[in-house]
Amino acid sequence: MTIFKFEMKRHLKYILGWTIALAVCIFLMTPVYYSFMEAAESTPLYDTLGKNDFFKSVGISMGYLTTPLGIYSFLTSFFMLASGIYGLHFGITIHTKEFSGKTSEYLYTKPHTRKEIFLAKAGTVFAGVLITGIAYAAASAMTLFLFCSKIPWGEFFLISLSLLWLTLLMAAMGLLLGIIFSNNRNPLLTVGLIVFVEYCITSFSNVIVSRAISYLSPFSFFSGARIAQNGFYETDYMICYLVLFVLFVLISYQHFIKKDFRFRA
Amino acid sequence: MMSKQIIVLNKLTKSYGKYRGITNLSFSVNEGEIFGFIGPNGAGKSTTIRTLMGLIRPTDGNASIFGLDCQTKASEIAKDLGYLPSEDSYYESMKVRELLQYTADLYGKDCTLKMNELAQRLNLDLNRRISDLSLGNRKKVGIVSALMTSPKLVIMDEPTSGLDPLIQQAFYEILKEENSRGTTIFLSSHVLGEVQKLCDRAAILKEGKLISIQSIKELRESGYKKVSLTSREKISHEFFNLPGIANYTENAAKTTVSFMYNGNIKVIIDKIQQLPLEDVLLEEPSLEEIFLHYYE
Repeated sequence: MTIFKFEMKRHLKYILGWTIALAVCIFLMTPVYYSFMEAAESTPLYDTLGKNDFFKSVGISMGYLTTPLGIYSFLTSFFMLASGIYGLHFGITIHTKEFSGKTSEYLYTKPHTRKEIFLAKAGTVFAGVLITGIAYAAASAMTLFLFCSKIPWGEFFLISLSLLWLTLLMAAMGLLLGIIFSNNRNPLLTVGLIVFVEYCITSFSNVIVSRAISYLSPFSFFSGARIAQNGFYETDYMICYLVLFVLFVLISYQHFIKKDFRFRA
Repeated sequence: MMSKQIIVLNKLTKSYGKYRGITNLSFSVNEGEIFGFIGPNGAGKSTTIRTLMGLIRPTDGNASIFGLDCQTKASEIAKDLGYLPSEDSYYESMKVRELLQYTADLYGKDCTLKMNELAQRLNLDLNRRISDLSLGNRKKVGIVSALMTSPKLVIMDEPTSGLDPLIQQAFYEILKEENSRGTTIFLSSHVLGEVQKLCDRAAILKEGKLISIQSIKELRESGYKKVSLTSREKISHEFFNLPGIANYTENAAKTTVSFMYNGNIKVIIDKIQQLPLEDVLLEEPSLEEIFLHYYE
C-alpha cells in the first residue's frame, strides 16, 4: 500500500491533467459539433460528407451522425485516440521511469516483494485510468443532459465507458511493454507509433469491411454505431478484449517476477 | 567458536552473453565483520552486489544472506539490510526529508531520530530538493537512507565517491560505530585506503574472478617489502634478477631503483650491501601497491 500511495501521489498531476483535458474537451465539443451538424443538415456540404469514406473509417454512419449520440460517438472515437495514448504511455512509463531516473536500485531493494511492487504499479495505472474514464463518462453525461434531448442512456453509457475499456487495455499493453523494454528512453515515440498504427488498422478494416483485420486493433472493439445497432458490445470482440487484457497482465507479471532489472549507467 | 556467516556466495556466476560478468565467486562474510570488496572499475563488484540484492538473477551458483536465498527471499532479507547503490539517484522532485520518510515507510519503521542524527553528522540539509543536490550530497542521502533503519547488515557500493575528506572521516566513524553495535558491513570500493582503514578482511576481484581473499593484516604482512635505493653508480637491471622481485622501476640514470620484494630478507640485504649506496629505504608497501601487484 505504501508504494501504491507513493505512485498515486507521484502521478497525480499526470492523471488529473489527462482527466481534466478529456472531460473538458468532450463537455465543450459535443454541443458545438451537434449544433454544426444540425445547421449543416440541409446543405450540400452535409451530402458530400455523407458519401465520404472518412465516416466509414471511424465506424459511424451518416444517419447515425445526425443524432446527439451519433455525434458523441463520433467525438469519442477521436478521444479514444488520445486516451489510448494516455493509457499506453502511463503503462510504459511507470516502469521505464525507474530506469531513466536511475531509481531501480532504490525501490527494488526495499522489503517489498516484486509481486507487491508489480501490483502497486499496475494498480496505480489502472486506478488512474479508471478516474479518467469515470470523469469522461460523467462530463459526457452532463453535456448531453444539458444540451441535447432524447438520449438513450443505456447506449450512451456503453459508448461512454468504451473509452475506459479501451484505455485499460492500452494501459495493460503499456505495462507489458514497459516491463519488457524498461530501458526505452523515448516512450512517447513508441506510444505515438503504436497508437497511430492501431488506429490506421481500424480505419482500414472499416473501409474494406474486413472483420479479420479489425481484431488486430483494440480501437475496432468499440464501434459506436455497432453498439447502437446491437444494444451491447459485440461478443467476439469482448472475448478478444478479455483474452488480450488477461494475457497482457499475466505476461507482464510473469516477466516482472523473473526479470533482471536494468540500470542506466 | 566460529562466527555466524551472514553472506555466503557459492560458485556465483553471472554472464551477459559476450559481456563478462562474474565467474564462480565463492566466499563468505562473518557476522560483525567489515568486509572489503576490492577491484577496479568493471571487475564485477556491482554485478556481484546486484545479484546479492536480488536485482539480477545468477546464471549459475547461488548466494544467501542471513541463511536466506538471495533470489527467492530478497524482500525478507531486505528487512534487515541497508543498501547504498553506486549510482545514487533518487526521485528528483522530492525533498530529502520526503525521500527519507518514504524509505522509513517502506521499512515500516519510525526512523526520525536516527535520520536527524545522521543528517546532522553528515551535514545534510533535509529540506533541500533532491534535484538541487550535488553528487556528494546525493551520496549522503544514500548513506542516511541505508543506515537510518539500523539494519543488521549494510551493503555499500563505492560509498565515498563524491564525499569530501571531512565528510569521509565522519562517514568512517559512523560505520565503525555501527559495526561496534554488531552491524556487519560489506563495502565495495576501488579506494584501497578506505578498505585499509575500515575492513577486517577483503576479497580481491579481477575480471569477474576472485583472485584472493585475505585479512587486511595478512595482506599487508604478506611478506612484500617495498625497497627504494639510490646508488652512486649505475645499477644494471640484471643485478636484481632475483626470484620474488616485482614492479621494478628505475630512473633514467639507472642510479635510483625501487621494487617490491617477497622473499628471504637476508638475501636482499646481502645484495643491497654490494652496492655503493647513497640511500636505502625498506618499508611496508601500501595496499595500493600490493593491489597493483595482484593486477600485474
